[in-house]
Amino acid sequence: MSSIKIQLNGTIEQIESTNLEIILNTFAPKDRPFAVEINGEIVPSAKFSDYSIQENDKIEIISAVGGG
Amino acid sequence: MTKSKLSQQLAVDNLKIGSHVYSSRLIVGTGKYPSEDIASKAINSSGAELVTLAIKRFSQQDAISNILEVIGDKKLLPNTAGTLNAKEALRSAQLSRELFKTNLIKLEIITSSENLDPNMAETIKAAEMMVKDNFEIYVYCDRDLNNCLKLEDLGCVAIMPLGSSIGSGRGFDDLDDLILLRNKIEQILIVDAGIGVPSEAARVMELGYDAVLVNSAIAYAKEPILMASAFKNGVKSGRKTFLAGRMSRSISSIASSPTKFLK
Repeated sequence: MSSIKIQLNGTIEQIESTNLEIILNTFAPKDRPFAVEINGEIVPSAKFSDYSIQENDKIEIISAVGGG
Repeated sequence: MTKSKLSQQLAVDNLKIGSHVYSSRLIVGTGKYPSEDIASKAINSSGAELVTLAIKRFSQQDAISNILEVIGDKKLLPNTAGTLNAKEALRSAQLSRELFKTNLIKLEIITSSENLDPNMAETIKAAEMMVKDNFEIYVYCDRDLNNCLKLEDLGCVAIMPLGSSIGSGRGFDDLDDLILLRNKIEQILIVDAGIGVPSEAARVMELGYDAVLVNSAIAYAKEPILMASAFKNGVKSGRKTFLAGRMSRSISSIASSPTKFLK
């Protein structure tokens, strides 16, 4: 299949698979928790494997950082 | 307070905030430390059970740093740092809830990236939205009595006025403001931001504040681990002083010893 363009954490990416879980295997951290938001909506981890990404979707992958 | 009640309170002087109970009255932040090792040791040295942290976009460049490993088994208080309005703050809180599996949130809406003082109109709006969304809100706010009363009425579980500007280490811009708030606010009161040294933490605890939140004063100390321990003791000392009740002030001297020699 042809690749599609998405925006991931503010950067344009070309992806081959539209399956969210496969995308996260490439871009998400493997050693710590993370949360995912797509087009402003939080996607629970239980739905990753069934979620299909569309052209121009905006994906945010969020993790923890120190703060006061 | 009767002697028996006081001894009971000293024996188990827990701090209940919302649905959680803590034995430490020092909350510490997790940012700005010179290294992860020092951060971990300082957090442990502080005795804090509740620690603040933030969220950000994950970047592969950050992959070597995992703040959750540094924090260990402490209870998490995620903040909404960097947000400028109620909508962003709610989005941040919801992402934190998904990420950390907690409904605790430190609501913090700043005025701008240069002016970190709270934007109170947006903070109040966000508190209204977050209460409806079942968050337990620890709210960073200014020292205005009406604003703090409003946040108390909305159901925030902790009201957290700033002592002075975030990260400034100036201590208190106006201690009288903080005294007035303690006299008028029944809800949990915590000084957040600006505290520079443990004696300042002790000072507000002596006034009856329930806790203090410290980050920069520990992280920027020459010896953060030692400073964390000093804050732990300062907060405990201030709390005991409040419970013990200070002597009344006098404008004249009052003798502790006989005032006439050999009579």
